[in-house]
Amino acid sequence: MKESLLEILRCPLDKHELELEDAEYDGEEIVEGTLVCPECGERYPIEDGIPNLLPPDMREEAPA
Amino acid sequence: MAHTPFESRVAEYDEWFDAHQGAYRAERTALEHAVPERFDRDRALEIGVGTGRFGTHLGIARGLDPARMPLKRARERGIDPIRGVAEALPIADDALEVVLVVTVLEFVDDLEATVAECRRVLDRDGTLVVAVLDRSSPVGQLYQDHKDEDPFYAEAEFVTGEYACEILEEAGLTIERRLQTIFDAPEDLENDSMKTTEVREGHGEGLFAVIRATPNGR
Repeated sequence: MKESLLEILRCPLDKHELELEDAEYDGEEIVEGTLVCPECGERYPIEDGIPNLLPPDMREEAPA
Repeated sequence: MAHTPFESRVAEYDEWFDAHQGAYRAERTALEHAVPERFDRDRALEIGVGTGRFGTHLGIARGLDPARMPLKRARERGIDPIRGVAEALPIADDALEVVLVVTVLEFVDDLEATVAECRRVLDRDGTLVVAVLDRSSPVGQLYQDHKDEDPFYAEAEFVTGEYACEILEEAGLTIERRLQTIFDAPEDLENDSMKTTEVREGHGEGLFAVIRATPNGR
């Protein structure tokens, strides 16, 4: 995902801004990392460049 | 979630549009009449983007879907993919100029929450474009009668164009335009380009009912 996408992304639960942690880049693309909500503490993975912002109760286990 | 047909049968879903180019062309044409002529593509989102068949064509940069496999296909078509659900959008308030929702209200768990979220993320002057397979249309009734035979539609709850408008108005949105297309079964449209480009005002006759709405009573 492009870093500019962060401007509009929010926590799906409380709509708070998200902080990017442990980002791995491929050029300008963020390919892996974690989006963290500082308000509720929920952590959302970036998987193969796609931010997974499903509510936690709908998120399946990461594929092996 | 991983077991939905949209996750496991991506190729089959995507190929429908190649096998029904007449219907696909009609749907795109109707949507073109509803989407604003100019907008910032980075401030435009398709909810339930699937494989990106509509958003890409309409110049929408962002796409959200709960299913991971179609999002990968959408990315190949130039969409910035986001995994999420319509009822709990991971998007800031008032962040978007255009929100596109095509054949999605049929599949959401909570219709009212979905529409409320669409309104929340739209700028006051923004535009919401919704399309539903109109249950009250002749072809829509056929879809309803045979939906259990279809792997994608078996779980769908078809609505009418009229009901979709009511839901939007109850959420405080103002309806600006009602359009419709596909007046014959999609299988019968392949060899007749006159039929496939026809878009009419109103709802109730065409399978594909399009609504343009805004949060602002402009």
